[in-house]
Amino acid sequence: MNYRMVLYILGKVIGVEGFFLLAPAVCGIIYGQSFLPYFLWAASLCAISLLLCFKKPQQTEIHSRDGFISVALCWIVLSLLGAVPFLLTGEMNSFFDAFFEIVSGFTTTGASVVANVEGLSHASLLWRSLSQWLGGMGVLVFVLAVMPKADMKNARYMHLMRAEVPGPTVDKLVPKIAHTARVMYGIYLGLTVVEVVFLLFGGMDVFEALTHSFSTASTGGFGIKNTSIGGYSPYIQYVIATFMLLFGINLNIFYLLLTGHIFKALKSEEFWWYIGIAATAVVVIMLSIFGQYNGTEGAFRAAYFQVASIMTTSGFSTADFTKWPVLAQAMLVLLMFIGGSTGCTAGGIKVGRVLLLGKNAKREAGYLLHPNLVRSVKVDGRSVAAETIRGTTSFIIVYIIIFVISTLLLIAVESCDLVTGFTTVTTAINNVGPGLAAVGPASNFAHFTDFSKLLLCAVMLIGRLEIFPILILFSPSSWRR
Amino acid sequence: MNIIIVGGGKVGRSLIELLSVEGHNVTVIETDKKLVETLVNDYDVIGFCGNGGSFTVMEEAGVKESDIFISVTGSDELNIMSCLVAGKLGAKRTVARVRNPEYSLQVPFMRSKLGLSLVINPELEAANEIARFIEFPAAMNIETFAKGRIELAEITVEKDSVLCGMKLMELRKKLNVQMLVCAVQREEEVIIPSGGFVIKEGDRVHFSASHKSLPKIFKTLGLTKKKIKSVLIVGGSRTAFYLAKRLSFAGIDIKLIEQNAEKAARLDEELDNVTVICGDGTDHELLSAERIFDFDACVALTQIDEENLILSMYAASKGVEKTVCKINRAALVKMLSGQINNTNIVAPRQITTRTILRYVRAVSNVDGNEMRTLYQILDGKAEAMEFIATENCKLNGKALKNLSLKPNIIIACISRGNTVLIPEGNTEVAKGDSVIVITAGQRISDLNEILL
Repeated sequence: MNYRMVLYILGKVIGVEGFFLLAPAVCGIIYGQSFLPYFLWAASLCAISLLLCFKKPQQTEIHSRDGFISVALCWIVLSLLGAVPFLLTGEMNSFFDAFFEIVSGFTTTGASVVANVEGLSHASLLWRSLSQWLGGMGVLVFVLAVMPKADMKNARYMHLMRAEVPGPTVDKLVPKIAHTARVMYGIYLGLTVVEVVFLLFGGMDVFEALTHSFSTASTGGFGIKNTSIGGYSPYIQYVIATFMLLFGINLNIFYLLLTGHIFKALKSEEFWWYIGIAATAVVVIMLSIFGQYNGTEGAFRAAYFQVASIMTTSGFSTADFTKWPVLAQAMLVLLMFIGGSTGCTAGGIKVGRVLLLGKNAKREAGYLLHPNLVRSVKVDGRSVAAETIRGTTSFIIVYIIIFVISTLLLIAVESCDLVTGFTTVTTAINNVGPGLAAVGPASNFAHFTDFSKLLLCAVMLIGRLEIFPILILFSPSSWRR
Repeated sequence: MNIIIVGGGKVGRSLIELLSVEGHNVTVIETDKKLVETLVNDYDVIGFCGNGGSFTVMEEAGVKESDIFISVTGSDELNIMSCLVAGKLGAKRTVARVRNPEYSLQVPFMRSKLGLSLVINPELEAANEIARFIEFPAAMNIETFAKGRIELAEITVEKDSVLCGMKLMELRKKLNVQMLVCAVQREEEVIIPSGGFVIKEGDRVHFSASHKSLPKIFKTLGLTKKKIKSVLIVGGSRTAFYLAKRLSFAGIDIKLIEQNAEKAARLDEELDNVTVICGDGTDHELLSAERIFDFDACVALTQIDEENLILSMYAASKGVEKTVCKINRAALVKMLSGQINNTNIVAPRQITTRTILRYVRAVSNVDGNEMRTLYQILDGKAEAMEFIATENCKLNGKALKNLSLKPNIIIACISRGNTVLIPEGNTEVAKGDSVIVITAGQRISDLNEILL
């Protein structure tokens, strides 16, 4: 293990967090609210970062293990430090509440323990949304994007990217990793800006447009109103729903479109399955909730918005879907598990993995029918490597094990009903936000015990980093020489 | 620059390593999936798995936008073909490794008619390098700069050398020679020395001098050895063939030992004025019978690294003054550096890499960079670079003693028109000079970067 290098990377990450904390501080000044806690904390994080990055390690080489451990460690430290401002401003009294809130932010979950969101200061609201924006694309990817050229030599930063960016395989878009990171953030930022413009056009003020765009881009789902998006005009609901769906598409597709490879972009199987699943879900839910709404438009809008929000694991809401028919609710829970595409900010198992597993299952059935069958699993017309399939299968198995254990633990501690227990963990591990029953869109997570909050924080982090980094961090064998 | 490398073998790998560190956008095409994965993990490059000669793979890898396309797979034919396809697809320059001697005769044709920019024959390059060692027996290594006007020579300081215990600042006065010691390796450490540095026995010293004064310097330092007139070559590889041809042309007596009778017979047919012996080159009896101790130099070119090494040591122990040893495995070369006296180690793969690198650097200089040449010396621990001082160079018109350079950087030599200046405190750099800079442990890309 290259401890010096892990600390160095950690220092950079803390620096980035300090830099981003300046935004709420400035926001506080603009709105004439207290900005000192944010400003002081930002300054101290920058100081810590300078201290850790003061001397560049001689040995910059990192390996797979260092990559996973740095990423897991960075995310935990990031959350611990990010929770402090909420306590400093006095808006939250319990450390567990603040930690839960910020983990929910960074992991783009969007589950909140705050009952009255409108009571929070503008600075804190901005910090919640900004934490989602940063966590969506990944803070280490950001570090890689802004890393000076001289630092990129000789180090194997691909391990960092691989551990942080979701998906069964992570590929570069262009030869240089820093350049790839910059392209990714470029597309991300570009789309965010477009959304801000659309929202401003719909009559939101700058603050609302920014915070909602940050939360949409990251498919996070922190709103700044108690009714989430429900109080806004149909135009804004459509804009936010459409952008959520856009941010649930693999970034590679945007890159291909931007570089003029339109046909190649449209050849992606995952993309069409993603669109297909979303469309089917909209139709099914619309039909099932038709009776509760007046007119087709209302039912379509509610179904479209909720499918976009749940499938991309954002978690915004325009309606309390706990009151919907059970079929619609079950459909939403299914969407929570499927999640968005690979290589985007959405959580969940990912359409790509589901697709791969489905095709693999079909092949296995084929083997039973024809014992001497030779068939490879093909996605986008190419056969998928056996290792990728193996990796995906083991991912699913570990995912289920963690899911089951967490659900049992939660139900044991909370002695809540099965639906609440099941959907709470579902919503946490898939980074969605709202669940059903006691954790529906109209409720919040404040009623859980501190132990459950910590458990859910762990589950959210595990879900965001796709399980293995956190497990590796806490397995003793990783720390042996 | 966008560079595409086909083939991730040993040469491919070292090219990938060096070029990606130099900041180029490197794309790798390789058939072995596992290998692609390790390369992408280890270096900042993008990898594609597939046949480098295939149109679709090439297109996907972005051959259209590539500046240089390098093909170094194990197959000559694939290398030539993929370069042809790449050239047609729009790669600006193509480089192929072609080792079959039958093809190497048509290199001029391939370059002019088929549009290949560079065709490398590793065996021929290795033979040329060995020939240089034989022609300059005292030097461990000689690199040339400024179109051959400046030489950077490496010598090992022996016990009774005049250099032993010499302070560098006194060197010029005492010996009256125009030379500048610019890098010294003492045990594992590479030092860029200052005036107060004292040379010790066993140091590997690099010094710069003008081409003309080199013979005089060698004489003053007592390094002039008698000219090599006879060479024993063991192992009848392709390298041996090229080497024997070149050396016998220069009038040197050659004896070549090859084990395989057929091969030996063919070598005898192809080579004039060369005595070919069929027998085991590692057989002690045979070597004695062929009077190994009477030769001025011995070159070990068998297929097995260990054999070559033992052979060189044996030859040295028998009083052969100069031995050259071919080592294929790069890892061994690093472990062996400077371990055996009077033995030059030749690594064909490293030579191929170096030739390609030199070409790539030359091309990138055309694209605005002012670095002319770059050599890695002392096993890559130090680098010698040649720059042209442009108009806005901050060094212009200032005496060197007034400049504050970064640590571990030295200006080794300056060439102005036809004159070579070995720097002193009062020397000044002028616009248009070619300046040779030696650095240890850092890479610079602009002459201004050497200043603090």
